[in-house]
Amino acid sequence: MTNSRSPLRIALFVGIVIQTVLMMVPLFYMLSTSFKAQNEVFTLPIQWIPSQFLIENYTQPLQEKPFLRWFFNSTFVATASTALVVLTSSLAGYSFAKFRYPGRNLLFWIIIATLMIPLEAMIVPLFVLVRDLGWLNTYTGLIIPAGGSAFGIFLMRQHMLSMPDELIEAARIDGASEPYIFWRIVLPINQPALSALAIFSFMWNWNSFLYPLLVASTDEMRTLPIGLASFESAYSTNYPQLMAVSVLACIPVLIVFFILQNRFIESMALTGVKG
Amino acid sequence: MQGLSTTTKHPTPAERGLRAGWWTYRRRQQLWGFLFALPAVILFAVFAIYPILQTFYLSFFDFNLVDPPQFVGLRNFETILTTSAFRDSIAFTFRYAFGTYIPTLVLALALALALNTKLPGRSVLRMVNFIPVVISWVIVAVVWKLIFHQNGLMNVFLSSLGLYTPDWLLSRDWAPYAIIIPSIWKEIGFYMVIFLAGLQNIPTVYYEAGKIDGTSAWQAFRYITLPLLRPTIVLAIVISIINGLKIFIPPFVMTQGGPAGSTRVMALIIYQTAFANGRMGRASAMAVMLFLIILLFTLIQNRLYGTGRDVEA
Amino acid sequence: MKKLSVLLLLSLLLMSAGLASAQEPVTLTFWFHTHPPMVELNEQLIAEYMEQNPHVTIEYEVIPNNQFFEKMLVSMSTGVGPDIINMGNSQIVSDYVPRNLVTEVDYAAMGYDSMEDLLAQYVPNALSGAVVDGRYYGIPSEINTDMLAIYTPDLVEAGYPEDWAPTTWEELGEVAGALSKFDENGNQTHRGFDLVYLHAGWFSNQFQTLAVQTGCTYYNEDLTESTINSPECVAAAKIWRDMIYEYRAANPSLSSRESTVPLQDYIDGTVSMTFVQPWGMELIRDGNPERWENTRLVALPQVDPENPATKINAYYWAVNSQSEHPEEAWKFVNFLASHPGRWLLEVNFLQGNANMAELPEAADFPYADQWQEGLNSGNFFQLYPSANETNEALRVGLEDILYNDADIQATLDAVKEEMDLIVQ
Repeated sequence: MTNSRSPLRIALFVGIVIQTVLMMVPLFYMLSTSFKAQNEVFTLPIQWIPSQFLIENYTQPLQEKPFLRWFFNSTFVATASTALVVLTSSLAGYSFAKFRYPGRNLLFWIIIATLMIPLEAMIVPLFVLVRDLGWLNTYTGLIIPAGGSAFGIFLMRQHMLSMPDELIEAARIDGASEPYIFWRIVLPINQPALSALAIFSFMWNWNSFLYPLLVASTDEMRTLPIGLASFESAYSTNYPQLMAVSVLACIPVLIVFFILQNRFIESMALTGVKG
Repeated sequence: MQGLSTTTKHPTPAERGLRAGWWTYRRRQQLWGFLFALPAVILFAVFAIYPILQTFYLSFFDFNLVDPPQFVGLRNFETILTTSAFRDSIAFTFRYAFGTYIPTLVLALALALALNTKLPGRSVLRMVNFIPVVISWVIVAVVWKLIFHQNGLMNVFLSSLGLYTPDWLLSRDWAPYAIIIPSIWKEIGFYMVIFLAGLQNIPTVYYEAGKIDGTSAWQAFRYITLPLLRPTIVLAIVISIINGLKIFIPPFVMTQGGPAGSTRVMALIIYQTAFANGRMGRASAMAVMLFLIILLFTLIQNRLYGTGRDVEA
Repeated sequence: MKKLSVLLLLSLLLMSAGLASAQEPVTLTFWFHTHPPMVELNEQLIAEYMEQNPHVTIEYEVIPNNQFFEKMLVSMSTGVGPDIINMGNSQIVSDYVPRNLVTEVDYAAMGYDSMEDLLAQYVPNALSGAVVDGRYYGIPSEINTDMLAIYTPDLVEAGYPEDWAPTTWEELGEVAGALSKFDENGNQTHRGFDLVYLHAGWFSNQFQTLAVQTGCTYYNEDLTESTINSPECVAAAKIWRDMIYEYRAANPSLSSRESTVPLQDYIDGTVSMTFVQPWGMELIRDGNPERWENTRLVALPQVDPENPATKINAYYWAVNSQSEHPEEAWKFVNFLASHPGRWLLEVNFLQGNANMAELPEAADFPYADQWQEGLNSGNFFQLYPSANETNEALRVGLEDILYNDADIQATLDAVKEEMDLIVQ
């Protein structure tokens, strides 16, 4: 753009610093409040560094509510659902991209059409269905219905379209079976898209709210976001503890984010632009 | 395939082998293709198509989960469209969607443009804006609920500037902003990244050519960047508004749709009608309306701007 | 010989089957709302019951208050609810019984020879909050009326006599207004009197206390149309609204609108006077003993002091109609209800027992006579359909009136529109 020392660039830089600070302030507020005593939360002028660091705000909620169990549930359900999504999406994406059979296009477009319908719009019958299957308040009920992703299918198909046919043909001529081709050739080639889908799907599932809210009715089966919301409604005026559990709930995702930062952002972009 | 010839020409063993092999090869292909798609198809049929069809079906009934559904025709639709509760929720949902995403997209574009330069601290900027994106909505809602507390951070900040400090979550005028502001905060990073990817897809040759021609930065933006970014922008608008129309968690956690129903988005009133009031039929009718609204919006977008990108194989 | 041995074998089998079923392990589930002293006593009673009945396991769950009504209704409706519930009287009658979610009281399983015997244990009003078509569906866990709690030091500080008690709402408003405090900018910092602004059930409950005095009902007699916008109801809403905007006694902005302990504000000292039900005494005493020492309870002001009207509301233990062990469930309910003295003493729950005055714990029960009087002379509010929905619709309107000073008649007209839909 313009050259380095111009006032525009300096203004831009200052603007960026301000924006950075503004974005981080809420998180810092959360962290700071989490260590305060209840009567210190609203003192004026605002104390960014608490006078004392009350670790009880972190330990007490952990004793009152099964946070670890919620964390485990979220991890287990998100992992299992993601595995299912990646598997079904790559299979279906491959099928729609590289095979021809009657009804193929129709099936594809019907699945894509479901993207238009928000979960909120079908939650009522979905709930009744899960109840009728006897899957309410079970892991099965949390995992299986979340195992299909129209977005995932679309993404995988998009990527697999650009896979060279010759590779597959060659393998067929060599006598390889279709499952073998899928497993040993198609999947490895599409690995970037698969891992993007996995990250995206895991994150989406980890944060999903409305469906687990209705399906998991006891503390044992709750996932972390639902547990956190129920903790909030039960202890809504104990702000330091609320902030403490919020901090705890952030940590896993943030750790993963920092480790996989580039991958994360790339996959977002990948799914956003191409998908 | 081949027509019948008058003189029967018998295929050679080789040819016959090939043609016979080709035929079952094709069939086998079709079978495998179908089998591969099957798991996804089954999942969708059971957990997406069926519930969607059921929603449409139930919208014509009264159903409280216990007694058998009772047919009521169009009454649910009449009820929800002639009384103010649902209509107000439609209005607020749109207000929320546009109120959140217009500022979000503008800011996201500005940030993406900044990130696209060689400014120092770029990676910090990118990270800092993306963190809210990965944090769960529930956490965001819980924290911002505290920020908008009468004595919370926002009012402390405002009063230090000598400005009016509303009781955000209690006032029907200000509560909507208490929902919108955290949404902007959370969503900027996501669209920033999408725009950045779009920007980086623009070949630099255009800009170089522009420089040679002596175009200013603003002209470059207007005549090179914007047009080439158009598909991405269109995509961002469509995705973001649709997401905005479906929003649930922030009003659920922060205000429960209050005060006085002023922050009740459609997803929330559907949830409350179904699960707090036990009126599944009416909630289904509302859900059908939500779907139609999203459909309408997408179609309008398509008409106005085109899809902006190729979807075909 | 063979016949005899076959007979013997058969009877042995039958006996062992009988023994087995008598000792077959049973698991009961029990869900209740978050009220700390009640939670504590529930936990103790559950432990004691399990000790006395080794074949019974009771799993309990404490539900957060602002999800309580929805969650219970959905769970019960979808067949995943607990065996034993503890639910408000209007919900039981309006939501649970019509959907056949709860069973009739099983007096036999509870150890009584007849329903009359059971009823004789209670004062006449006690079970009538959960009766439909002459059939009873719950055993009272708490029966409540309201009194006014006054923190005497605040009263004295403002120059009023120690034994002051309001006879009319205007009187309450004026004195409470004098007790309110404001800072230099005119912002209110202390409230003379206020109610609580928690979930919809609370709005409805407190409104009903005012409504019985003005003659307001939510619906007409045949429950075909809502009467929430009647002059009587406008008058009731006006009483509450005036406390905020006319007398400047109350102020929703200052109230902690989400506390688990409803009387938190009174306990913390940010409000001088408020409504209190029997269990409130224990909460105050527990939360701030000094505060309790200086609290006086008096009868509520009345719109028509010549003809006082008192509202009763109650919570009942009831049994899920889909329970696999309804008899065991009612047995447990009987156990819960067999310790009125402990409920009285430890939780300050009045359960409407006929012999309350004779209980040893009653001697130490503050204001026992007034509470009993309220129970005897009071009435349950109109039983209306779809409690959850009605309360929500009312809450939306009340929030507008109380938080935003919206026009009362116009707002209640809008609420009527919502409520009419409920009874269509």
